[in-house]
Amino acid sequence: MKKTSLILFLIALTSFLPGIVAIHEPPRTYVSGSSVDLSIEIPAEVETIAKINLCYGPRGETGYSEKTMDSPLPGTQAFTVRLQPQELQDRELQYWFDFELTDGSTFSYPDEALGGEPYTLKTEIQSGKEDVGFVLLSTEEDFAQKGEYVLVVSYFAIADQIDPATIEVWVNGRNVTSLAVITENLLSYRDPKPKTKNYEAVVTALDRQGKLIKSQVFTTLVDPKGGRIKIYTWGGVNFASNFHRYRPQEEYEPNQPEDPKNSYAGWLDFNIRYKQLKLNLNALHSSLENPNRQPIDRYCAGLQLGFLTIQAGDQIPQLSPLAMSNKTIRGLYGSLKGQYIGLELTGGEMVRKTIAGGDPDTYTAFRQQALGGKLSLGTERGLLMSLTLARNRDVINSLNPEDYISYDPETADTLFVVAPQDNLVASFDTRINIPALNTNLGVEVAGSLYNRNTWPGPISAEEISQYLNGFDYIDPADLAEVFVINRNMEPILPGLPNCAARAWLRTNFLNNIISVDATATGPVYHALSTWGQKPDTKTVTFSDMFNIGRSFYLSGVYIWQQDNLFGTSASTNTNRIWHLQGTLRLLKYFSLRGSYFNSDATNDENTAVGEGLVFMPCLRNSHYYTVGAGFNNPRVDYLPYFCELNYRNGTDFSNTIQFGEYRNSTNSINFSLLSKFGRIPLRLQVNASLATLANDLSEYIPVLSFNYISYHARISYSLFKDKLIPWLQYRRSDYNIANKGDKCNDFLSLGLEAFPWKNMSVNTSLNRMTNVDKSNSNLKHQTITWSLTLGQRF
Amino acid sequence: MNQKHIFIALALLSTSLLSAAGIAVVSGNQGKCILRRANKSIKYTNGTILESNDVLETEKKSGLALKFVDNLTSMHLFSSTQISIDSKAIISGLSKQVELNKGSLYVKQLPGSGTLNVAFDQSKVSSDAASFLIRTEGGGKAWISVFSGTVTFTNKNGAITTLEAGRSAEMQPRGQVKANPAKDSELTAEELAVVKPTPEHDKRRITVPMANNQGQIKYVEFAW
Repeated sequence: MKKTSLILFLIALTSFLPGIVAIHEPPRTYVSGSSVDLSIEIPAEVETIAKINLCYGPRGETGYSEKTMDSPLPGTQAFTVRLQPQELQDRELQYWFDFELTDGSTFSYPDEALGGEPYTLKTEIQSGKEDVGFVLLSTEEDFAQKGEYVLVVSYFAIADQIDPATIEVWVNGRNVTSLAVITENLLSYRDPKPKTKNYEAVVTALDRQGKLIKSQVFTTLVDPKGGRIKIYTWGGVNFASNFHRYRPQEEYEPNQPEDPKNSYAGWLDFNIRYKQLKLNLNALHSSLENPNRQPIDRYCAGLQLGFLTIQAGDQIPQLSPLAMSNKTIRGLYGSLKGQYIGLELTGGEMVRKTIAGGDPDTYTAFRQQALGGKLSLGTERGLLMSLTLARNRDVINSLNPEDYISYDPETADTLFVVAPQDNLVASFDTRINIPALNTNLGVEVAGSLYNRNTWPGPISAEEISQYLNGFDYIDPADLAEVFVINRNMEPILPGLPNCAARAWLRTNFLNNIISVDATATGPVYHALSTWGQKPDTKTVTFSDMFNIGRSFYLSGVYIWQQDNLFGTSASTNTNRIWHLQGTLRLLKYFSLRGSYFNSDATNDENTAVGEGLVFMPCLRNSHYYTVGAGFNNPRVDYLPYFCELNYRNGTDFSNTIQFGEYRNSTNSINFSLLSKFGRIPLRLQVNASLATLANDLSEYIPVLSFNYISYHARISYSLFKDKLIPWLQYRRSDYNIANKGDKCNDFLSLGLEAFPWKNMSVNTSLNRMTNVDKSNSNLKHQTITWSLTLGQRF
Repeated sequence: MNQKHIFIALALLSTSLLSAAGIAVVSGNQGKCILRRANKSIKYTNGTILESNDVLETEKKSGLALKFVDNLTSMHLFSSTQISIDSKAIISGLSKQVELNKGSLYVKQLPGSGTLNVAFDQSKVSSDAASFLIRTEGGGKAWISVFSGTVTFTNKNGAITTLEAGRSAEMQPRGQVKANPAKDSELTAEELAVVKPTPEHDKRRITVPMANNQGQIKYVEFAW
């Protein structure tokens, strides 16, 4: 299982939604006391992503923190975020990315529901080759480790090979050498007030040849309370806000941005553990919550006792990607998980957005009764089979009558303009884990019943018999409590169009990490407890990542997607996306990168349906390549310790009236560098990019050629041993848009990161963003934003 | 030659070159104990490194555990016990010298760790790989119980007696040794808790001595 987990953990490149590919190269290690920059690149469809949050926390612990990633700079596709030393705490961390798309859907990457595992990040001192000459004496068998942490390491077997003066002791990533007692054959370190349960220690030394040798990672489980009070509590309180002052442009222009809204959010996590019993409390209040997307505010209380889990309040049950997943439900959840059998049940309310009062610009939401259950047989180490059922039903009286009834004054008719819906889904999946072959594979099939309008109630037995020509197996009135059967069902008799299926394979052999996913969704398959599968499509995704040690990575993705699964449309659309990326590390500190991305969209005539119709052939292509070179040696001071140069060239092409006829060529060059200055805690980051977009062919839409040059600089200075980190950031982008003149986007930001006491973080910044049209001063608008986030973990 | 022997050989070489090296470490303590170094009382905690000629003493209702640098030898001092420790490198391993002045001492020594001598009055107990408990009240009188391995007892006259696992022996001031089958009832509750810690789920057990066809005493454990 561990090996298989490792496979999934290492997958750094994959596609998780049709059309979206994410590339993340995990750094895996970091230098103790330094910050870490993480980035995730979205080569295409980047505009569909509203934001990405980095979720990170100590490995093996359930608590985690979130940090919103910076949106891509002009000319780039990478979301970035920096973790400061206080956030890293020199611990081994696990992290993943939470995506929020512009359509409101959310998902995690890697997605645990699909078998993914979080990435890990450890200090350099925790990785590398180990010398067996370091022997742990303070084993848990001989040392009680109650109310204290004691580390005793003997190295007398290699005492003549090392210089004791060069010995360093690292505990949870912190250099505690000065606090340790070091003799020529033995060292001892003691923490009389342990704050955590898991201690990881590493001992390093230089041998007589000056080569660094190190111990294995000595992991020790400590009872911080020393058995006095066996109740553990942990959690965090957080607050975040954005306040804006907007100065609109003096001259009206339809494309000018809207006045941004002030917003704030607060959230609390509180956990208690007593022996096998775990309790958790979670609460969130946000002024940005959309009542049409999920119930306002989030509250959750949970209990876990061995194999039993009970949650009350808001939660996101992950029963099955095809039946119930990634949607917030307010209600109850319970699970019983044994070695060979598991049962999960959930019930409560979701919301479903709908128009109000027949006005397509006004929205409200149905409260929706949601029920789900999953029965699993087998073991995750071998064969596991699961049956999942999910039901969603709109609660009619959750809407005001004026939202669903419209009165027509001309005809004097009363119209029902909003229809409540009913949905029933069943799915069955089988997965096989073969640890010996590093392989995990599975298949899931699901079928749905969907009624798009239950106002008329169930159809009568006689009507259904007439409608379906003698069908008299059921009386729909008997089943109305479970599902409303009437003529609004899509279709009334279930068949393959109501079905969806997916299959997957993850394997690792000869340094290849291979992932294959195939999905097919029928045109009338509906699962209201998910964010929805793209109907009437089939998708195949293949990805491979190959590496030779840490010196060479090669990864590739191929996605093929086609709609019109049942040939019911006049044309069939096909998308093909493939991507290849390679990284070669040279001399430990240098790297060369290259990538190629290609996306094709075509359509084919379906003569069986489209006979007599005018077929409009379509071809859209987007391709680009990137080459780059980089240098990264965190031990370099004064000179840039990180620099990277990338060149990107690509073309977008379309010959369809539907999307316009164009051929856009883009060229961009990006340069980044990071510097630090030895003992002077100053850090400097500089980015510059230069890009041109040339529109070679434009018959139907205006020419949009433009050039832009963008500069970005960030400087920070650490005070009081990293407790206060003031920073200043400036970004300027100058655009020259053909036929529209010169424009300028100016962004100045002054901020402070503060860590006044343990586990407390304060981030505040004052940002000024100005957009200037150099040819018309009346088109200038400005936004000043004050951001504040507070976080306290305990 | 297995890895353990290589480890010991390297240890010996390196230890012989060391100066001011630690020889053991305090791994646990309970109640009031005293550590003396060069006739001065030293403050100690779990993890304190012990040096040659350190004197360890426990008072009433106290206990102290230590582990040697070879990671193969550990000891437990019961209430009202006083020892001094020393070690040096020899060909067969790390030689550990313990002088038991009074009280009760439990020794657990895994194979490959070199020799161990526990001296009391003018007698000594030696082993290469054994676990045993020795108790003395001074005056040349002692009691020893062997739980595993073989222990050699040398009296003040130089006479040697060998004790195997499952045997206990009473040493008289004149050097006589009287050996018997060991019984748990000979151990105090304090000693039994350390020598044979009983997990909660193992409380319903009983060990019965039985003779086989050759008349050797074997211990059969019944659990229910």
